[in-house]
Amino acid sequence: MDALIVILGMFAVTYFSRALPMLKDFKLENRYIKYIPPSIFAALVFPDVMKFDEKTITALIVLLISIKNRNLLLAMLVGVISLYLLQKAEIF
Amino acid sequence: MRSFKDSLPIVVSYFSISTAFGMIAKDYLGFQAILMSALVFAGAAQFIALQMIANKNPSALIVLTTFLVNSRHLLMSSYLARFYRGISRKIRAIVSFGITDETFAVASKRFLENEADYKYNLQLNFFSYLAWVSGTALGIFFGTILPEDVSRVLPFGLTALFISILVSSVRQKSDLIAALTAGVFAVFLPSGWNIVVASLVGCFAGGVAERWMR
Repeated sequence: MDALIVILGMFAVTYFSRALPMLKDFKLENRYIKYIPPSIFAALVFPDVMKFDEKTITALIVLLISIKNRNLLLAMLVGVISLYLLQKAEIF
Repeated sequence: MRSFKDSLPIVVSYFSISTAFGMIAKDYLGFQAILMSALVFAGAAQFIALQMIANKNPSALIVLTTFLVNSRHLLMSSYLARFYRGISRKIRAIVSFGITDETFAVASKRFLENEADYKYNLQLNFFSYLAWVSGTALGIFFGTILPEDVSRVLPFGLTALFISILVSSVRQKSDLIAALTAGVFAVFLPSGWNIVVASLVGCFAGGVAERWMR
């Protein structure tokens, strides 16, 4: 089963990163690695919201909320509810 | 118990976020979502995997992206290692499984203020882990009772979550440069490898910008 392979692979690479420095004498230099979070999340978000539809509007709302409040669940809730309402309103 | 008290903020947020994970994951993974939470135990990577599964990305790419996202654990583990000199290999192998952004933050703070104590770390990780896995199971259950038109917009919760994490990960100008570069590359590169390649370009841009601005 494909999903099982994905899960086992994810487990292997994640545990590798967690355990290697603890089990072996290994130190990592962090000049580029600290830019992984902003890079990867931008790479995930941009393609999804750049089609200029109701998702673009929703993303802007979520962006504004996230700047004011760092709560992850609030962002998810606002995102899902806004998209639901915009799709019901059928503006696009 | 000190570790229990310190784990409570993590437990509450892990439980609720993993419930959201379970609700969305149900449609793509079914009960295997619980297995993913139990083995991977890494929020961001699991949500990213869902998004990539939904977009029908090949398995190898999902695993590679997971490695990129979670390679930050190398840094945390490197840091924690100094507190574990002289502790048995078995304990180190178990503790390292539970390293997350949040457990790392709490444990490293505690170890700086008090004497390093691996039992504290083990318990902290365990409570957080329990919340993560049980929340996932609850989410799968909730997912089955949601009406169709609500569950259809649920995957956008992923994008919303990513936006929120993105905002908190941008702390300085070079972070913003990394993010914008990666974002633009991800839009214009053909989908498939775009996430991985765009992220690597973004990291490079961030590192270069940091050097220039100094």
